[in-house]
Amino acid sequence: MNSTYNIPIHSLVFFVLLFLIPIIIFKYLEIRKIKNLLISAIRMILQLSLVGFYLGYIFKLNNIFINFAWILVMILVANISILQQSGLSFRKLSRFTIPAYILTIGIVISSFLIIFTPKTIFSARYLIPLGGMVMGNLLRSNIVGLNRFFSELKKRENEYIQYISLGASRREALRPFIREAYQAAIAPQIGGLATMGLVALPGMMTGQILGGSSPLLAIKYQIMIMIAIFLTTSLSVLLAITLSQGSSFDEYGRFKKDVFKSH
Amino acid sequence: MLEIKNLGVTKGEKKILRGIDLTIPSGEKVVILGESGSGKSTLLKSIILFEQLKYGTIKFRNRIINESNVNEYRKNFVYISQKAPQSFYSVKEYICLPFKFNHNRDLSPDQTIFEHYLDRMNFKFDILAQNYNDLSGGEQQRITIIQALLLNKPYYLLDEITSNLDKQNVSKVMDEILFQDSRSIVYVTHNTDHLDRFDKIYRLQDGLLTLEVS
Repeated sequence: MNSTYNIPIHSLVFFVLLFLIPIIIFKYLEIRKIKNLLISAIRMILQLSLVGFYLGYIFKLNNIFINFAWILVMILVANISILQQSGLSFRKLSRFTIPAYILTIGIVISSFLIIFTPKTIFSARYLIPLGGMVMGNLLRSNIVGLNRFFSELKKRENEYIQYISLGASRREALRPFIREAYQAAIAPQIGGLATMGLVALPGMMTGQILGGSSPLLAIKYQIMIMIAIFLTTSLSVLLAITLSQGSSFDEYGRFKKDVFKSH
Repeated sequence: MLEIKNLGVTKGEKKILRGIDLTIPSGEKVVILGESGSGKSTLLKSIILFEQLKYGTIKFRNRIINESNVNEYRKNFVYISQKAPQSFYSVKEYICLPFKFNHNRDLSPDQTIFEHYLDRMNFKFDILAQNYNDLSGGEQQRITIIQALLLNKPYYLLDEITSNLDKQNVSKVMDEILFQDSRSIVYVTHNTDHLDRFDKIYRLQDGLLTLEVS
């Protein structure tokens, strides 16, 4: 198999200049977000360059401890991002969500042992990209799931009280809310599973084909990663919601509103 | 007997309830009138301690209620809020849902009473197979009332439960709720219909409760 075509740096610079076209469209439509667009684009280029440099370094070192430390750092960063974007208190919920995510990622990485030898999966070249893909989906689904759970509970607290008064335990009274949040979090993925490959070629497959793998091998990887992603979102959303209930109710079973980020 | 003494609730700086005294002997039917924002929903939820009390005590059967006995205490009450819950269950599954809770596992809905309620509240039996979420707001409210009545608890706390119902249905719901002599009712509303059917009428204004008619 051929190795991937190396993009010369000057061609990439020219390619980046294509950004001028959307900027012209922004100007034409009088969308006053050009500054935002430029900042986002510059951040994208800088962050990716940075990741490119230190991933190269980590791949060269290929030390199992550093690889896992990297995964741990990704979990911590994801956790900050999830709680921030779902409008929840980082201080109140992190001690529940972080263990939920560590446990989930632990289970998912272990499940890769069905396919790979430990030596392969724990090596930087496999662990970091696979971990990264899984983590990106954990991030998106948990923002939706946690936000939905707590905001619906706040909005429909009377329903919770009513179920308790009908004899429900807290767990029983919260079930409708957990069910709804979980469904909201994984719905986009079920949709994604059903149209997979028909319209858009998934990123991982594209990468592998460009990297010189046969389409058949790329498909095997894609199926594996889809299952891993679905497992990750399912477990992480359920665990994060279930564990974070611990701090969300007082000794009288009242929902404490301080889980929300104070403004 | 339920005794509420000098109960106060504040939210932020705002005093929602101020020095509420209210005693409800078992079997007494009480209505509390108040405009929206008068604190009547808060009062109802305070009775089962789902609001944080700033001061005051609640005594039930001569025991002061605190965090150690609140769960047991709440088992004597059914609370029905103004808005019926959402639920993806069929009407029948929804009505029977409380009987699936671990606490009620030894109970089962009495078929005859079940059918009686459906009939009295203007439902045909084929409603049972329908999706609860497909019903109108008023139908959901009446179904929720049936669900609550089937549990047959000593105290019913009702928050403006007839707001979605037409006149004829309000009267039927009232008939069923007030039917049992042994049952205590606390009904908060701004609606002045059917008041003569209650033992006592209170008024809640600016967080203060006064007895109007007894």
